[in-house]
Order: sequence, then C-alpha cells, then structure tokens
Amino acid sequence: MNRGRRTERSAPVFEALADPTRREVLRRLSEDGPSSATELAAELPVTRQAVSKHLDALATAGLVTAERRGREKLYRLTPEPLSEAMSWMVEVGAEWDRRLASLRRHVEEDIP
Amino acid sequence: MDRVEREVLLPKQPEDVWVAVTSPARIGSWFGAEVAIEPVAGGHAEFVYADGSERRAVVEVADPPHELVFRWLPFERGPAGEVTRRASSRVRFLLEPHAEGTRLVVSEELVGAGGIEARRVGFRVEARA
Repeated sequence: MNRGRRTERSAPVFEALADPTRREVLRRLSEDGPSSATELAAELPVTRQAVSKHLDALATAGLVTAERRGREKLYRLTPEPLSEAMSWMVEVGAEWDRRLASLRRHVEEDIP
Repeated sequence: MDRVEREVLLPKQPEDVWVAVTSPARIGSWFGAEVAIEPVAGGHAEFVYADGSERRAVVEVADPPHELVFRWLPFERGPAGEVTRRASSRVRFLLEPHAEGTRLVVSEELVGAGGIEARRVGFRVEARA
C-alpha cells in the first residue's frame, strides 16, 4: 500500500479546483500552452492581480509550475496531481465496493 | 471530487448491522484488515493490513445504531515500521432503517493533512525528500 505521497497531495488539489476561475486558467493553459499572468488576464473577466493569486494557489497544489522567461513568468500545466486526485477517487471507491460486498456476504451468511 | 459515497442494502436490522460494523470480532471478516476500535466519540481505532502495514483513526461520532464517523490520521506505518504521510480523510457510516433491513451509506471525504497528530499518538514521522 505505497500510496503515501500520492494521496497526501490530493486535498490541496481539490481545493484548488473548487474555484471556477482557476479551472478556467487550467483549461486555457491546456489549450494555449505556457502563458504569463498578463496573457491569461487578457482572456478572463478578472484583474491580472487576481490571476496571479489564482496561479499561486495552483502552483501550491502542484498543478502549474512557473519559469522565468526574461522579465516574465510563464506558467505551465503539470497535471500529475490532477490524475492523482482522480486516482484517489477511483481507488477509494473500489475499496469501499469491495468492503461493502464483503459486508453484505458476511451479514447474509449470518442469517439462519 | 474529494468525496466518495457508496451504499448497500443489508437484510438485517440496524442494531445488528451496527455490531457487524463496530465489533472487533466481526469487522475483520469484511473490512480487509484486523481492526481494534473503541466505538465511542474520542475513541481510537487501529487497522492492521495483511501486508503488515498499519493505520490509525480517531472516532468522532458514535451514535448507535445510526451513525459512526472516524477520521484517518495522516500517516501510515509500513511493514518494516517506517512511517509515511497519507492524506487524512473522514469515513462516515449512516445506518437507515429500510423495508428490507438496513440501508448503509458509507462516505469517505478528504480533509486537510496535519503532522501534529502524528506526534500526539506516538508516531515519529521521518522526513522524506
């Protein structure tokens, strides 16, 4: 059961994804490739400052990384934590399916 | 996305299902681990898996035969004793009377991780790069 680091990153990922503007930022990075906060703000109904804050939250969750290109920071998608979050759902769901099927058999066997 | 929910209909009354869910002698038959649990609010639970790894939980709600809630502590002890971080999540069992016996709804939801709890219950968490 070596899922330590993977599942430990999932909670901040879900928090980061809870905001619709952040989801839109991810979608744009996915479609347009690496972009600066300025470029992203041009496409969104929020200020550049707000976009920067959202990018910080996404970076904390490991969903984007930033690299300097001259005076600008370009942000790039790093989707691995997202697939880890999905994996959490799939694995935990499968675990409970197994347990509840066993529980039902256990309860049924107990009936005279 | 940070929450999983499943349900099952069981052909027994909630009182009997409660015993199957909380009695140490019975849980092992279906949970997939040896379980020692104090089914009272504030009680502890220990889960030992077939590969020798262990996890602990704290019982938050125990309201027989209606509701049991426990929260996994954010770490796991491996077969060789090594401690690794895990996300903490809250597991909730809701037992509802049903025409056929009991409708059991189980949910597991991620909560924020915390390292302080590890030290409080005696695990020494080793930092890993």
